[in-house]
Amino acid sequence: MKANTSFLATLNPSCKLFAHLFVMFLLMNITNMKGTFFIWILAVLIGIFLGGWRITYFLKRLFPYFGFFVLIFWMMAAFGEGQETIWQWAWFHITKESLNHGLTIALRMLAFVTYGLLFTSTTDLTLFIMSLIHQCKLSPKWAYGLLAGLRFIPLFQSELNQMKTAHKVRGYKEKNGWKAFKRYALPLFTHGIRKSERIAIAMEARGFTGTKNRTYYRTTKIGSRDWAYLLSLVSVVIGMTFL
Amino acid sequence: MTWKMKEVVLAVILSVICGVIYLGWSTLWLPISSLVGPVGAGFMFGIWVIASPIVAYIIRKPGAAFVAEVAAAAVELLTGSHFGLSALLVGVFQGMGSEIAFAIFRYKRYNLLTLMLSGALAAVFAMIYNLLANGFGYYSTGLLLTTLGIHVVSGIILGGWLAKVVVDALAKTGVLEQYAIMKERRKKGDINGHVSGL
Amino acid sequence: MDMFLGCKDLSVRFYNRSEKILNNITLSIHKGEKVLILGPSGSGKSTLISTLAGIIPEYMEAEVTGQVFLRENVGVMFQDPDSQFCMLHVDEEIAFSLENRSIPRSEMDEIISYLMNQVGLKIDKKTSIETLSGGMKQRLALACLLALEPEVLFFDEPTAQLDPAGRKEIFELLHNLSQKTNQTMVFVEHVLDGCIEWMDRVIMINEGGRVIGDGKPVDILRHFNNEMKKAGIWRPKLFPYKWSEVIENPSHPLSIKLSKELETKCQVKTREYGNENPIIYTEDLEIGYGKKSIVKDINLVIGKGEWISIVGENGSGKSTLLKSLIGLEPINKGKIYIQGKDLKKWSDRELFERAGFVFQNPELQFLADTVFEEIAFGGRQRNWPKESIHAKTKKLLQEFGLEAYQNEHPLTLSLGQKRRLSVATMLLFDQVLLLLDEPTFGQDEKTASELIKKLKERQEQGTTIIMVTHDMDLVDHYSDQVLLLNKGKVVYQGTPYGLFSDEALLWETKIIPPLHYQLMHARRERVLV
Repeated sequence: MKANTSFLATLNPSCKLFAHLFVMFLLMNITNMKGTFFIWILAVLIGIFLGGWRITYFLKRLFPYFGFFVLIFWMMAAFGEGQETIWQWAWFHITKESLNHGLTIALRMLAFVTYGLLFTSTTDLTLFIMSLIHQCKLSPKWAYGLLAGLRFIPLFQSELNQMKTAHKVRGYKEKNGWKAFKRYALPLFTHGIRKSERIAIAMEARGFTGTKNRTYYRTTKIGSRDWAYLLSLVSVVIGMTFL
Repeated sequence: MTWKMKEVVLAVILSVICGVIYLGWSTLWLPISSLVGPVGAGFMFGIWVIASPIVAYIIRKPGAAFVAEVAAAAVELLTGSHFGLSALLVGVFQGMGSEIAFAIFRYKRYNLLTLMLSGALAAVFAMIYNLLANGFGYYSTGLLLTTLGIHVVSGIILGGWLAKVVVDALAKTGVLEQYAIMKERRKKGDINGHVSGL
Repeated sequence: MDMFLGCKDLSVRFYNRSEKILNNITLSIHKGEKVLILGPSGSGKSTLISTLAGIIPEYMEAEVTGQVFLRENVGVMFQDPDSQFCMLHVDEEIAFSLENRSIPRSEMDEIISYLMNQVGLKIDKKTSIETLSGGMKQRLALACLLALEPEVLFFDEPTAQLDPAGRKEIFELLHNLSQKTNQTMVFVEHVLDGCIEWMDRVIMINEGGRVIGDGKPVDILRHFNNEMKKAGIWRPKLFPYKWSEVIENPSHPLSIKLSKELETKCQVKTREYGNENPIIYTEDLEIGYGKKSIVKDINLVIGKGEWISIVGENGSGKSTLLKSLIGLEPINKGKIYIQGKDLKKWSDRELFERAGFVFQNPELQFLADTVFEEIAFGGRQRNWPKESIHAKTKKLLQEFGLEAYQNEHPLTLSLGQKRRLSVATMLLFDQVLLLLDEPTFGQDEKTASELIKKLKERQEQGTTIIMVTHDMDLVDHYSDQVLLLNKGKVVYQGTPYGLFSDEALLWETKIIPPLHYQLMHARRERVLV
């Protein structure tokens, strides 16, 4: 998660998160396809005009989800309830209603993903955590603990890949899901536990107490532009629900 | 009961690892679910709620289960993949479900039963989220109940039971000596000769 | 008793153990002293340092008896460069120390740039920590400790996870710092070259966690040579001698020893490479991902029973090349032939019955719940008859000294045992080709030499060995061929002698040759002068 140089990147992360989560809650209550579609388009427009997205970036990042979009649509359409049957084969059963629902839900998912991307592509992780301390009153112990752990995501991803390669050499193929989980989890966990113990000790040895009794190198505030974004986004989205 | 720093970092890191494994699991789940539908693929559900029972079983503090699932979900958010913010919301719901299981027993019982209950409740809460957000309400009632049933069973087995298997195996390697799970075992006089990884 | 730092009758026991790890230790460390603590693994060196630094029992629980005299402001550097940070960028990490001390924000920027300068971090302060090399990470760790304005600095094997270049970098930095500030420093290390030269005092601990020696480095080194060997400490190659003496005086004992070694190297006849039946050869191989090329124009011929070393700086593509050779990383261009057959035509199953790969991190390749099953794994997959699996596994357990642990979980073994097990698992099919990624990295001398001995035995039976390594003594001693990678190319391919006698090439590729070659170069220079 890294910030870019757009307008959205200058906003307070917690405030931005709250705004987007609020839109998502509204989306959950909107059952018509048109409204959902417009709210999704709004996210795309915000991304392009305020989020510093290039069209190519946006397409590249969202493209993988179009497959998912089709899938959700299919699942809703083929397994949903409805009266007017359009197509039926084996256990698949598509009705007019389920088709409509499928499209709404798929668009809602797509909108969720887009609002999520809007947040992650314009937010710096450290600042986000700092704003959780300053605006959401999260205790420094948890905030810094979170940061310390989250920086290891790439490491564990590469360890997981190394394990896959190693298993290839040894000719290991596991068809049994839970056994596979145990195989991968055990070495990763033992590594992780040792690391976590060392990090915690290193942090405390450097005088970290976890209390609020400290100064901050990076601070975040909520300003007028944060309010402006929050209020205008929410009012536009509410306006759209009446379309 | 205040959290020690090493417990905080441990909870986060274990959840991060679960999150990384979840990502791999999703790629496995997608093709299956498109073929047999969300109901049939539901048997794989349990893995997604395993972070809570694992972390709670080791650390044994109020809030452990909740934090674990939220942190695991944050991995999906941070790697910028799949469901982004909605993953975080699912995590919050599942975490609440898991947490309740331990709260019912006032954070005093950590055995197979509570772990399984935690997996089951996580499944129930995930279903509540799905009803609200993912349009599961459009499924027929019969289908909905079947899905819930499969998820609960999967949560019990892949979430609860597997969590116990994994942590017990982990305990044997001696890396958990400094945490509540081993301290309680030592209290019971069950001293084993393993050395912590330091 | 007025003591700067130390302990009296200190004993420590971890709650899960019945025996004490430290036993009745009494010592006193003076202000400004540089102290090195030595001992075998498991002797409680780290425990001692952690106790003196106040980590035990404050943050790590243990039963502590006796008196400990602590300083209030201390800094501890740990061996794993990765697990002492909690932030994402260099400046934030240093600031974390300052924040903990409640230093006002307005003073932070100046302190951060001062500290970065002091530890020689000449990079942008917004640099992401994960992009730094191991050596740079330890520099940063030091800056973070100095930000605490500590009275004492503790170092718990600070170079164990670094390559020789990184180790040299850190020791030189610390040496400089110690001269400038007269900082009190307490070290635990198992590599002595680079630090023993400037220590004031060495403390030797035995397996039972008792002090057996305490004195000047020269004396301890002389008296406890055997103990150090047993403890697996990498003893210094030069110390207590001075390099200038060795060069100038040809009758100096070390000078004689080195000259002899050099002579034997000259006499080794260059083997004819790639005898008629090469086990593996490549044609214009290029490795990399997509458009990005890592190493180009690789033309290798490796004969049966040869020992090949691949060397080069970090990030030069050594490990990637090693993996590419048996198809674990995709290749961009060119061809690889194994036993005369195109790599692409081998099935995984057949290929890995002939070629084994030992990963840098052995834990990640384990699959089974016991050591026995770990080795037997391949046989079970192929439904071998029980008796032959049993016989074969027993033999390997014996060969690698793991019989006593056959029922243990692989993850519970010690680092050296894990490493041996990871090699053993790759030999169930009597693989003719064994590839190893830095097999001795981070190990003590004893476990490293035990492993190399096993590999040598295998090589004598005809196994071809290809390894990536940073250890130039290992390269010099065992390899038939060395492959040096630099800036995307193979810049040298031939005998170790040829590489180590080419001074210009060594300088350009930042390789530090074994001592006897250094002597050769130094003598040459003197003749020229």
